[in-house]
Amino acid sequence: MASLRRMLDGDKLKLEGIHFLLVDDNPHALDIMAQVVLGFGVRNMTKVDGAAAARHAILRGGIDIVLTDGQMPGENGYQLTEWIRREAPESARYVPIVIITGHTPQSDVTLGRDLGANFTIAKPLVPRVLIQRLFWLSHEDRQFVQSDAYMGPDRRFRRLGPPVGTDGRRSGDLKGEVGEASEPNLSQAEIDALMKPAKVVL
Amino acid sequence: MSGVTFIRVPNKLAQLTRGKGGIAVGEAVKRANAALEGLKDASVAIIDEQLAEIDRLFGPGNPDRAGLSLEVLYDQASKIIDAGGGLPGSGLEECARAVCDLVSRSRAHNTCDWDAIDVHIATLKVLRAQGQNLTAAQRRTVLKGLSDVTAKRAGEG
Repeated sequence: MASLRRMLDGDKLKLEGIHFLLVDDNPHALDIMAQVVLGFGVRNMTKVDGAAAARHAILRGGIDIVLTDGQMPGENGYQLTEWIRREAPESARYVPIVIITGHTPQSDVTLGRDLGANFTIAKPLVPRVLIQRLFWLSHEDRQFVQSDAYMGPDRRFRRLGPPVGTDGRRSGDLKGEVGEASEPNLSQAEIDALMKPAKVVL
Repeated sequence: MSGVTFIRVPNKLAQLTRGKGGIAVGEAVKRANAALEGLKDASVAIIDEQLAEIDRLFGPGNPDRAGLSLEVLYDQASKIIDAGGGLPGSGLEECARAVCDLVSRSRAHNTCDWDAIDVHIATLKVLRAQGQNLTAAQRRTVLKGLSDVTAKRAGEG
């Protein structure tokens, strides 16, 4: 998928105009987050120590991306994510959200995804991992899905096709039933030509 | 299914980040790592502080530990993970994550396995003292032993 293309050291990102909202109840973790994004060239950031303060910052407007701790006392990062996707003003509802959390059991990663987070990253925060996610976000081409049960970026990252037994909902989804061939079958040589390995540039 | 809407939202981040100028990713990572160096001493101090507190409150030396909430242990282990970058390659954050797993498991089954907690605390101390001197294979062996203990105890439960 194009949005998950491998990032190269020579690729450029221009982050100085992006307004980051950093959320963590642990002051040291917040400092780490801030130092990392400052190192990336970010000049515009708001640091807050919890979800309530984050909501105020979002209501003030101008936030371009949210990096939030997952586990926080009281309202946590998952609840904040749900609020942004469901209740925040329209202008903020689609901002990219990255959850950065220490304990990452599969259930929490799934929860974050199902509440509309774009990515979940495990702590301790590693600059290369974060900038890779920012790079992917800057190349993001996923649509947003809004329904009673879900609001967030399309969760079907890999495009494996529609769920088994359904026709799918995307206009480009192919039906499970292929039907009769309308043209002659390809020869083995033609198939081999299609399968010919190409040089892969990493 | 009713009321599913697909919305094509303009990628504001793409508009703002992909213009002319900017910083090469490799250089950005280098600068961020350099910026983190300034926090390294504070990270190590936090790790040591949390380790000492974990040992004092939840170690076998505290006869009253059964009366404590394991959520405190979870919080202390989380702080070690947060600061784990201060001692890279020690395996401490993986061990602290295993402590969080153990507390989650205890929470789910409403049990408290003090033997397993003792093993985790002892491993945290070993990794703090020697983790950075171990080879990657040795660290993996230590951490694998830890997860085996947890899995075995959970199986017995």
